[in-house]
Amino acid sequence: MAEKPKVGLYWCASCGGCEEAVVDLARDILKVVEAVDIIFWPVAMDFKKSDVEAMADGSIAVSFINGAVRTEEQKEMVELLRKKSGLIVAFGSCAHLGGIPGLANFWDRKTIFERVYHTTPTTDNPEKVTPKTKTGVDQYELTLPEFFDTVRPLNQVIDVDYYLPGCAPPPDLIMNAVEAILKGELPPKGSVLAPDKALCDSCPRKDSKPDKIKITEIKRIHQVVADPEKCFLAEGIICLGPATRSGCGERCINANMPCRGCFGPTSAVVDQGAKFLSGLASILEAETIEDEERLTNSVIDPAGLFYMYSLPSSILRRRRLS
Amino acid sequence: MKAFLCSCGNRIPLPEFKEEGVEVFYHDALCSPAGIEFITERWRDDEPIMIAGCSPVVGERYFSRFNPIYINIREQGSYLGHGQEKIGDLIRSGVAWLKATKPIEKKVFDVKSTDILIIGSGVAGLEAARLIGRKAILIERRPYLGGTVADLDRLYPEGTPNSHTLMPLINQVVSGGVRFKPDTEIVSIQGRPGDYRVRLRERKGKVVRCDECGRCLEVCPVEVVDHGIKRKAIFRSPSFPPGYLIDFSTCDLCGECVKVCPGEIILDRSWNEYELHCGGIIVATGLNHFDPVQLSEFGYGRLPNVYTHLEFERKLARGEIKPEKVVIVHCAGSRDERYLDYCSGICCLLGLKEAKLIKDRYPETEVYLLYIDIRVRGELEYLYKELRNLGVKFVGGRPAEIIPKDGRLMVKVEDSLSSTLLKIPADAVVLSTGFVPDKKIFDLLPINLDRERFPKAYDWSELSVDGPPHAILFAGSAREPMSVPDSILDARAKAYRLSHLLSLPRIESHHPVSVIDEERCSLCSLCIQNCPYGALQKEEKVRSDPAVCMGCGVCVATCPSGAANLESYETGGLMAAVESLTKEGTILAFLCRWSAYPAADQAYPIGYPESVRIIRVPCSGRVDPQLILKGFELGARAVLIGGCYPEACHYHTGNIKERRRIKLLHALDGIVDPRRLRIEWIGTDEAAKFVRVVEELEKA
Repeated sequence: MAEKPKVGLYWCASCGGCEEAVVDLARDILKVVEAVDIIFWPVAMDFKKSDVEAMADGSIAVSFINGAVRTEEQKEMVELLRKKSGLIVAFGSCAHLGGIPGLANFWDRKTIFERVYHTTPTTDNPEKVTPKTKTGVDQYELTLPEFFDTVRPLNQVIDVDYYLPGCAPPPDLIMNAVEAILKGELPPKGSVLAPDKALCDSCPRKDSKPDKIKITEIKRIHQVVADPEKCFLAEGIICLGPATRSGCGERCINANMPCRGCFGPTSAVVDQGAKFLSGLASILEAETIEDEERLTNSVIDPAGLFYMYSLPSSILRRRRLS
Repeated sequence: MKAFLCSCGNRIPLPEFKEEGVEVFYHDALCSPAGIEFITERWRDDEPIMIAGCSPVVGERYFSRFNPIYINIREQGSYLGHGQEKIGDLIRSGVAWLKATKPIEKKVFDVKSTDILIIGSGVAGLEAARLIGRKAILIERRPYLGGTVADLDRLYPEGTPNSHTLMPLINQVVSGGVRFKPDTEIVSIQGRPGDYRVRLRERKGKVVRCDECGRCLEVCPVEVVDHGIKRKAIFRSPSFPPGYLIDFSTCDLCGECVKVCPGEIILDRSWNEYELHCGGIIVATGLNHFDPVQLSEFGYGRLPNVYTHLEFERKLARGEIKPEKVVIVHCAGSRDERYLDYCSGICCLLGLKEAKLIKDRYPETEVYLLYIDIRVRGELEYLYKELRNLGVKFVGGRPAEIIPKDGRLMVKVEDSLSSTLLKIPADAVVLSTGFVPDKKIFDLLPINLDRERFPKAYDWSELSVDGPPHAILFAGSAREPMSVPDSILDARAKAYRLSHLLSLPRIESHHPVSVIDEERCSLCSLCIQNCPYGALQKEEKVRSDPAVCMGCGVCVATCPSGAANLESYETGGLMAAVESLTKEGTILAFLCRWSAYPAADQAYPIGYPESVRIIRVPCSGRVDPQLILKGFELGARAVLIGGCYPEACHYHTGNIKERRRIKLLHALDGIVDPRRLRIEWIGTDEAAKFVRVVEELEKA
């Protein structure tokens, strides 16, 4: 029997939802396990870093890496996997775009440590201990991986072959990707393994969309009971669908929540947040400059809203470091 | 790929320039006949070229048929004394842009009809119809020809009766085979040059056969005041067709006229709608009078004997009034921020004419003429002098108010020359009001209005094949208020222009338009209402109609999925230009071609920092925020968006859209420094403002 292709799975700065997504393949995971040999999956199987180091370069057929890169340890591990793997697939929004952990790019190491270790109401840290990369204890030196100022998506650290978008990627896209890899029917390197049209194309509410969308008042989802049939934007609720790649299965829309952009932009757009901002600004309807001021000011936390998933992969990547 | 570098007669020191895949040509005067020949020999229409040399403001006059990427190394380089490094950067940016762009596709509009629709039968419409002859279809909202002139009594300066001007024109129109449709309105206009489909509606009711016996007039119970004159709903035609006509907007369909008529009358207010095919359209809808009811201090509509000049003229002509003392108020509502903040240009002469008509008829009548400035052009100054000699009293001042006093009127006005308050009693006050555009027709057309008023003039001449593609021309006062001779001349020019254009088998144009990538478009529809012309239509797909698109690119900046693009100003090309122009400390300026860009062109005598790098865009609304952020990523010290003043956008509200984008960018919590990203309105003549802004940004 020919040797099965080896597959690795790894997680970086992520919530674990992407690991869950693999399990969500349900019965299909048996097909995967039948076809491949999982040789590294820290969340589920007992392999060590040294096992990976011992492998020949390029011997892993494909590694699926989820999570953004925020620490030295993650950087080291993904660099190792890059060396050992034929293909690297950035798995899920955080590896693809930076994701929710990427919102930390509105701060930096200093301000995050200050908050987490000193000022949150639940912190009990009278000695003001803050993590350091090296700490002397007696005659020993303890080390911790460095915590970077900036969260990065995978492709800002290593060369990435493909991207599986989504928070988390839906099972059908995962299966399509696995099948394409097994059959060797892959699109050009660098492709996002999802349709290249924005979400409106497949939105179940598209027929309710008026030809001309004008927003005279911006509403937040918790302030209104959203009509379960109508286009969110037409109702004044910010929905990132027009700026977001489709393929997610419209899970949020079906749960009566607007799109928040986890699939990232289409291939013709670099900066999803900027593009959505531009589109939104263009459909605001204001007669006077005061109206305009009121409308633009009524977008609460625009940066967090437009870049909820994509700040580290946006053009400016983060808040300016002073 | 070819790049042409011009030294402008050695005014620009050209660097040695080499780039893989680009043929570079040097020349000393590309705009000379030899230079044009030089480009023509090397140019192919399937390959974009770059011309680096003078400003495109100049270059477009010579090179527009090659559709080049223009790189301005004269006004933005050598004239400023900026060095070879900047000139090199500019040329590199042009080549990078060139590599990312595609040639502009040629739009071909087959001329499927050579008929020309003329909307409006005032003097402009009549003159155009007269020249175009059998190919002309002349429609008129009212039941008779003649427009505003038909309502007047006399024309200045000689005081000739209106019929002296009107009737010869009408005779030639009627005998020249022009198809004439009175009582007809436009419902919609669709199509493209050479092939317009116009929906019209024509009133079903009319006087079919008239013996001009006048019995209908005696029985008609409806009295109407038409510009000061009482008439019945059925009335005698002031021009053509002759006989009696019905004003269906006031007729109550009682049928009395039908009973007494020996001829035939159809009483039917409803419309007959039908479609008409034509190749081009001349809009000659003329003047609308400003309604002085808004001027409450002048009492129009409230006080008796306060008239508009038209009402006064018509009453005077019929001997209905014989005032002993008349005050004529010029600029009633004009040049006033609250009403019309512009000068209509012709009302001064109308006011003078009314004064002359009174003096001709009643030499004893005392006439006061209140003015801000008297604006009479050329030889017509003699009319003003003649009136002075006739004893008309000219008072420099605008009335504070007009009140009733002792059965007469009292006009209170400060004479600005003597600074004294005058209280002038009068039997009649004539308000010489200005004119307003006929917005109703403009709304049906894919056109730009200047400050939301009259159709905007483009520096590429109307209908130039390099310019906007419409075979829809404006003639006479539809374009701006014009005198009778000016209207006639204007109509003549437009008639010849359109006839010539439609004599060709097809109209070709190279104007850049937006293109929607159907494979990529998700039908999100955000672009659609951003098109001020309705060029974007959503059916199965969203499409941009090249016959309607004016190439502003607001939809491109709007499109959140990158499916929209603008020929020659593709996002890729602009991005490539940003990348090659921006370095640490650069002030990146995206300037609108209509305002801020020509302003910057004029700034070289003042000078500005060498770190300023300018990218020309069709409209500030084309500036995609991604371009701005890219500039900052590459180290730009500041980014400036320069656009037209709010009401002056050539594409309605592109600049306002951009301002909203900038507001939201400023609000991006620390990602963008608001001090280093500015949008400024910079008029064509505001070079100094441009310099001030970039100098402030240099310090930001």
